[in-house]
Parts: sequence; structure tokens; C-alpha cells
Amino acid sequence: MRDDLLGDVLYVDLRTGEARREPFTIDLLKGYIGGRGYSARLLWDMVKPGTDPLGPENVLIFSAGPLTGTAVPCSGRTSVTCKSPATGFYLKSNVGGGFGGDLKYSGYSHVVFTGCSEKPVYLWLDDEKVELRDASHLWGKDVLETTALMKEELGDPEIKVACIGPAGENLVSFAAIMTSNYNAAARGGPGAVMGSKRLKAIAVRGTKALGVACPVAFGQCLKDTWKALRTDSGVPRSHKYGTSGGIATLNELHLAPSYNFQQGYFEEADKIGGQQLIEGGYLKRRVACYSCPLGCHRYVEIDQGKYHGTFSGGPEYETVQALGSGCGVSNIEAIIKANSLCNRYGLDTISTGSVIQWLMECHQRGLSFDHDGLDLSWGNDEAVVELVKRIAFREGVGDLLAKGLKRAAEQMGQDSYKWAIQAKGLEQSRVETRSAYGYALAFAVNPRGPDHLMTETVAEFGLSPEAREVIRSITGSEEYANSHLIEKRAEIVRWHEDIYALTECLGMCVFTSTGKYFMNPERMAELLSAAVGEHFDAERLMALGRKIVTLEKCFNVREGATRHDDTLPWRLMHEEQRDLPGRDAINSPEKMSKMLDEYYALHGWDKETSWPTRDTLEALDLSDVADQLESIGKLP
Amino acid sequence: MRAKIIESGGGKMKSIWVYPEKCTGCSQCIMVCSYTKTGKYSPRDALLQLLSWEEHCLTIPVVCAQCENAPCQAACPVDAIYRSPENGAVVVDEALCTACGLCMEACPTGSIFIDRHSNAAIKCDLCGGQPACVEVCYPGALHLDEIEWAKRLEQREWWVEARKVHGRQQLPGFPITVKE
Repeated sequence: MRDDLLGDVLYVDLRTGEARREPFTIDLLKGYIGGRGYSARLLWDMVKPGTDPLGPENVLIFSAGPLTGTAVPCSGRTSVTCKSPATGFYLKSNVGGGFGGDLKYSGYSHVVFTGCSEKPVYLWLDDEKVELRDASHLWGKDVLETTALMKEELGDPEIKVACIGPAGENLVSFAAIMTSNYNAAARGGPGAVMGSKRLKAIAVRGTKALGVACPVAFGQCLKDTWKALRTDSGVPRSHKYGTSGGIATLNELHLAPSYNFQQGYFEEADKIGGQQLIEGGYLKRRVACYSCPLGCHRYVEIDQGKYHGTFSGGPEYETVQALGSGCGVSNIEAIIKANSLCNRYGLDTISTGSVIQWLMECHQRGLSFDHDGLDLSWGNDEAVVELVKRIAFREGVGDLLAKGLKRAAEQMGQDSYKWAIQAKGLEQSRVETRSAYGYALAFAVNPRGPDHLMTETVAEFGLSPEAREVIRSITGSEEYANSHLIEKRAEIVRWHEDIYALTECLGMCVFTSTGKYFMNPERMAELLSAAVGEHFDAERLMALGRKIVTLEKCFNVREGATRHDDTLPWRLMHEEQRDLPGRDAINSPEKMSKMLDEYYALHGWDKETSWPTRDTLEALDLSDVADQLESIGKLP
Repeated sequence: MRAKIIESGGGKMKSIWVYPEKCTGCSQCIMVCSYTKTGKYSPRDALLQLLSWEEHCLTIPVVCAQCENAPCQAACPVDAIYRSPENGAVVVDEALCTACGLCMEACPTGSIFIDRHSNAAIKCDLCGGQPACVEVCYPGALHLDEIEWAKRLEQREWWVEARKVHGRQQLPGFPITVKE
């Protein structure tokens, strides 16, 4: 059994129940790094254009990175890759918890599911032992029940589980795959793909030892990393207050949307942030993903009141916005409750909140539809909590919402698309892009839809010395650390695309290299080189990041995407942010068009179509991808 | 003989004190422990162990308390276990150890093991005085400190309780909630 960090690729055919393994070679690592990167290649190779995301021809790939399983801080992430049921385009959803580490210790870097099982099953990976087991008794159980039952059944409370809840089984278009109970691979609906395959869960126990190729160099670089981590200005805050600790700051910058993006400011933001989780006595423990010193996750309990007895991981920044301020809800206990239900049922909190906000606005505007007995007034937290359940089980109006915003708005009609905050079929993250142009561009070109977890240009706010330095190194001047500018956004977005892809390919958390900055391409190159014994420099790694980004784009091109798809939700393009009058706070088509032109030019993509050119693809060692695109007439 | 001299000093030598409520479950400690001892990342071989109650995001590091009158030491039929005069850790003389396993049976917290590589008893030796696990514990759940014998015994009782309820739908009774 190999003890290096590469691991094997395990293929599991859920139709036949057969499994086979192939080595993840150093050549594959040189070509795609690993994790998200090689998964993108597998998706390109295995999923034909036009494939039904919920059919047997879609794949579902779990992957850890080459650094996962080592003590490199924050290297325990897992990427989940498939074609998205929400968008019909490329999907990568990245998740923390403890799954990735054990996957590597069991000897695997990737697990690739194909086909659909007839009956509910789960996969049990016990080191090299691979077993598909009956999951009939688990079908219908929520995430906490499923995880607990599997640990009991397999006789080890320390095994790691990734599973779906009722939402995934019911093919809700934004269903999540949950790891360690509270960590969600959620955006774009990978849980629905898992549900369509009737794969309830994966359990893994890894007991193998992993070695690094050059221990001395690796040890030195780890020491340097720790030094940088301990002096990073963002780290202590992240640990103390968690992601939702940033709400007050971003609210003051008018970046925190409320009432379904009718404004970028919430009057009661000081009631719902990470500070209030502490002050209210809800925070019981801080929680980390595997190998992460920062521990930005929370564990909360409600000790009294109408939501007494509720406990859950989270809530995170986006969740607080989605289920709280976006719905006009300032009751932090209701947010905790709704979040706990999303976790139990396996729902993406961002999309869940997003569809609820949209429905509340449909009510505000007096549209004619069946309210399903609910009072949909802004701020009615009981309706929010109730709707989470109805969505997961597709009951009443919940069935409409479970289809996702795009389809729900089509069905609702009556101009409701104007406040359906989605593009490409994905509900937008709760970021007010009308006050953040780097985000606006990044969201528009994001292959999975308008979302911060592909390319987060958080440095453009210039909120820390490290962030301002990043902007200076990209653009030549700190002056561009100003999110209201459209100048230099293309450069800023492209750098963040590269670093984001690189970070996730390695199996690391993006909070190491964006937001916090103790990781940079140079350090990553040193760590990877020492870990696997193959020399990489920073430039080469960033180029590989760009290669992955381009390949993901090509997947969408092959599915029919054009420049027309690189856009933002209607409201953000056509309505000014009303809390910033006279500031021209709007992602107008004209501004977007200018940024897109610059962005495509920078990438070497055709401006008319947005398609990558042959020259660009060949320079990235993707000439076979160019050949395929040419054969279907999608090479400019 | 050498052990007795140190015992009379009572807790002036350092050991690892654990604040379970501060543990985030990041597992850095078990990774660096296994790496320090084996040269590989193999957290299930770590000499300190993490017990988790995942539903409640509770992780409890269980590590040798370097007890007074250590049960492992008392149980050893060949006197292979003694207290290090340098740092006060209870350590194993591999050359003397016969891997009989009596120490494992005697340890109430499950903190001594038979090493699969050396085939001798192995336990936390405080890395000779500067434990690697403490160095990487960012949340501050692990501390190296002078701990009185009585306190060590108290913490040992925590670990006994934690082991007892681990894997059941039951939480231990000692403090597990952060205080701000």
C-alpha cells in the first residue's frame, strides 16, 4: 500500500455495484494538481453535453487534495464535483468537516460515482475495503439521525460520514451533502445529484500513514506557515467571532443586503452577528474543520424560549443574511432554528433563504398566489422556519420553492423574475454586488453562478494591511482597493480565480489565501514541492489554477454557454441600491459589459462569445479540449 | 529509586492540562504527535487521542496525566516504566519492556499503547519537555503547566468518564462550554 500523498482514484458504478481503483499519478498531479482540478478534468471527460444532471449519466466526484492529511493548516477540505441540477452547468462545491482527512488516510484522493442504484445504498470505505451496503433503513432519516445510526451500525464513533437528508432524497434543486453533520457542500444542489443516485451516504475510516517526500524542507515550510498564521491580522478575529462576526462591518459599508436585496443595509444588523452569538450565551464551542487552527465554525444551543432545545453548528455569515436580514428577521434565535433545520434536512441555507425572501417579496407586491396558510410579511420568523420544512419535504408552496428561483419565478410569472435574485439558475450569495464591482464581475463570470465561493475578491475592500498589499501586488497601487471602482476589476478577479482554484486543488481552505493571507502562491509551491517531491514554483502553480478555471469554463461552453450567460440577477443590473442614493450603486449592463470586455481580453477569450480561443487553450496545455470544442463548432 | 525522588516534589514538574471546552477538534495535535513519533501522518497512532461527540461539536483530547504513583508504572513487572528526572514525564524503557500489556490494562484513561513498530509500550513522554501537540494548539485547549497531583487525578477522572460515555448519546459532566 502506498504511503505517499497522492492516493488512488476509486470508481464506483452504482448501477452494477462494481468498484475499481486507479492510481492518481504524479503526471496527473503535474497536469491538474488534484482535488477540484482533477475532478474538473474527470467531469469534462465523463459527462457528455446535454446530460440530465439527475440522470444516471451524471457523475458525482468527492476529492481531497494532495496536501490533505498533512498538518498543513486548513488542508482538510473536500471538493464535490458534478453537473449542477440548478444550473445545468459545471458545479464544484467545497466542504469542510473531517471527511477529507479520513478519505486520504484510507488511501484515496478521489471517489467517482457513476450510474444510479435501484435501491438506497451507502458506501463504506474502511481503508482498502470497499462495500456498498443497503441504506433502506436510513432513507427518510435526517442528517443527524443518519450520521448517528451509521456510526452505531459500523461500531466506531470516530468514522467520518458524508450524507444527504430528506431534501437530497426529494431532489430539492439546492439540496446539500453534509459532512460531520454541519458542514455543507451545498451550492448548486449536489445533494440532489446524490439523491438521484439513491446514494444516501459515504462512511470512511482511514488508518493508514501518509509520508511527505522531503521532510526537512516540509518541516521548515510548516514552521514559516505557522509564523505567518500567528501574525495574520485576520486570524484571531476569525477564531473569536466566526464568519458572522463580519456582518456589522460589512453592513456599515452597505454590503449586507436585506429584504431580498431591496437595500444593502439592515437596520438591525447589530442583533444577528457573531458578537451576539457570544453575548446572548448561544455560543457553546468554537469548531474547526480538519487540520484548521482558525476554527471559524460555531456550535450554538438555545437554552430557553420558544426555540428552546435547538442546537446546531453555525450559523455562518451567509446563513445569517439569507435566513435573517434578507427576510427582515432580526431574531437571532429564529435564525439559529432555521439554520439547524437546514442542516438536519440537508439544504443550502443561501438558496433556502433566497427563495423564501423572493416569496415574501411576491407577497409584499400583492401577487396572486396560494400562500399555503402562511403570513409572509417581512420579519415573520415563524414563516421562515415553517418554509424550511415545507421546502425539504416539498409540501404545498414548498414544492414551488424547491425547484429553485429560476423555475419558481417562471411558474409564478407576474414579473417576479425581477426580484428573483438568481443568474444561471443559482441563487446569488448574500453579497451586495452593487457596492462591490470585483464581486459583481466575479459573480457574473462564475461558471456555477453568482456566488462568492468560487472567486472571492474580498481584498478589494482593503479592510486589512494584507488585503491592501494583495491589491497593490495585482494592480500596482493600493488605490484600487476600492470596491466602487470598475477599473482593474478584471485583473483583480483573474488573480483571485487563480489563487482560489489553486488553493482548492491542494485541498486547502480559501480562507488561507483570500480574507486571511498567510498562504500565498510561493508558500503553496514550497509546501507542495516538499510534500510530493516534484518541484513547483509559484508561477507554474498559478498557471495551473488558471488552467482549471478555463477547463471549468469550457465545460459550460460545451453545454451551450455564451457571453449572454455571464450576467447578474435582474434587480442588480436594473435597480439602484436605494440605501446609497446618488452613488450610482448599480451593476448596470453598460458597466458590466465594460468589465466583461476587459476580463475576456485578459483571459484570451473571444469577446463576442466569451469562448476561449485555441491559442489560449493550447498555451494551457488543453489542446484536446480545443479540438473537442472545434468539432462541435464552439471554438471562436 | 530515581522515580521516588521526583514523586516527593509533587507536581512541580510539568504535564499537559486540557481545557476541553476550548478544543475545536482541528486535530493538529494528533497529526503532529503521530508525525513526531513515527515520521508519518497517522493520527490513529497518536499518543493523545481525540474523542468526539460530533452532533454537539464536542471533541475531548485525552492525554496521559503523568500521574502520581502512575498505575502503568506500578503494573509493570519488569520496571520498564519510570519517571524521567529531566522533565517529570512517565516514560518507557523500550529495552526492558516485554510488551506484556499489563500497563495498558492498568491505565484508567487508555493512554499507554503497544507500538506496532517497536513492539514495546509507548506513551506520551511530553516530547522530552516541549510537547509538539501543545505548540500547534491554536485555540489553547492544551497547556503545558505545573499541575498539582490532585488536579492531575481530577483530570484523569474526567477522561475515565469521557471514555465511559463516548459513543453513546450522552455527554460528560465536566465543563465543556466556553466561558467568555
